Amino acid sequence: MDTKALERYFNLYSEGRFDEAITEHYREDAHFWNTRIELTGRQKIIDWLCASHNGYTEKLIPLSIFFDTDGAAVELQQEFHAVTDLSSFYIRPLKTGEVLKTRGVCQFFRFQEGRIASVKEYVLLYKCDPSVFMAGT
Amino acid sequence: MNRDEIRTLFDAYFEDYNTGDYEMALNNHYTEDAVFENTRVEVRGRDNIIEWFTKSHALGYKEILTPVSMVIGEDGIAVELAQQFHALEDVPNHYVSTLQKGESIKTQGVAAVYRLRERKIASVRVYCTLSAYNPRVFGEGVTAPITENGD
Repeated sequence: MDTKALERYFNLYSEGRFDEAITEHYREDAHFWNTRIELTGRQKIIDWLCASHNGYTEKLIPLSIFFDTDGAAVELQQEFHAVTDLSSFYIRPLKTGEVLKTRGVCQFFRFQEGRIASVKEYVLLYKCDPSVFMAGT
Repeated sequence: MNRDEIRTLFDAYFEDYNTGDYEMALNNHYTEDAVFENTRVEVRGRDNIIEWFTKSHALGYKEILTPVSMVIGEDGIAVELAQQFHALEDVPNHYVSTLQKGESIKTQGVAAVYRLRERKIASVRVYCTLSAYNPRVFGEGVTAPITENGD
């Protein structure tokens, strides 16, 4: 992995091309952990991303990137665009056509053999709706 | 600064932080106009940060930070941290878990991004996972999301 590959990953992700983004960049046994779910296995991650992005698109914009030989950390801006009304969206309810931007996420990537072996996501909680995140804790 | 110098600087910072003498640690390592942001507060200015650290840790516990993984950049680091809390007295409202006097707990639920300016920490942003924290405490006082509506 290099910064260009990581940027391509975010571009594919932002276009909703989760299959390509994950297949190209993740190891088959990759581990993915965010505020809502913990998954192991590339296909499970693809399936979850496809299913969870129902009714909205998500664009990830790196605000800062720390890059090392075996890992990276990226602070991200997220832009959510509601394609339909989302009354239970995980940050807050959204109306059709509404765009929501947040700057409250940092992802840590570990690399193995040139691919992403794990992703762990951290958040600034006060930028999110805590009642949603707390539901599964 | 090269990577080794940055690593050495942060090793020294965490060692100073873990003494619990936040005035010494921050005067040694923070710029005067440093900004600290975590899941609960945003504090501007070294003296204000010292005051906040000192007050929040005066609730009867000690905190030890241990870097678990570190990514070093040109002007700072991103680091995943293990926290160990040791209760010096009963701490019923600790933000990770209720603590009883003498009890120690460990969590691995925070990450921080530090930016350097002139070999000092100019900004800190502390992120967290949620499963490691006490939802009763984090759920209180957390207000509406700080977001922008795009056009």
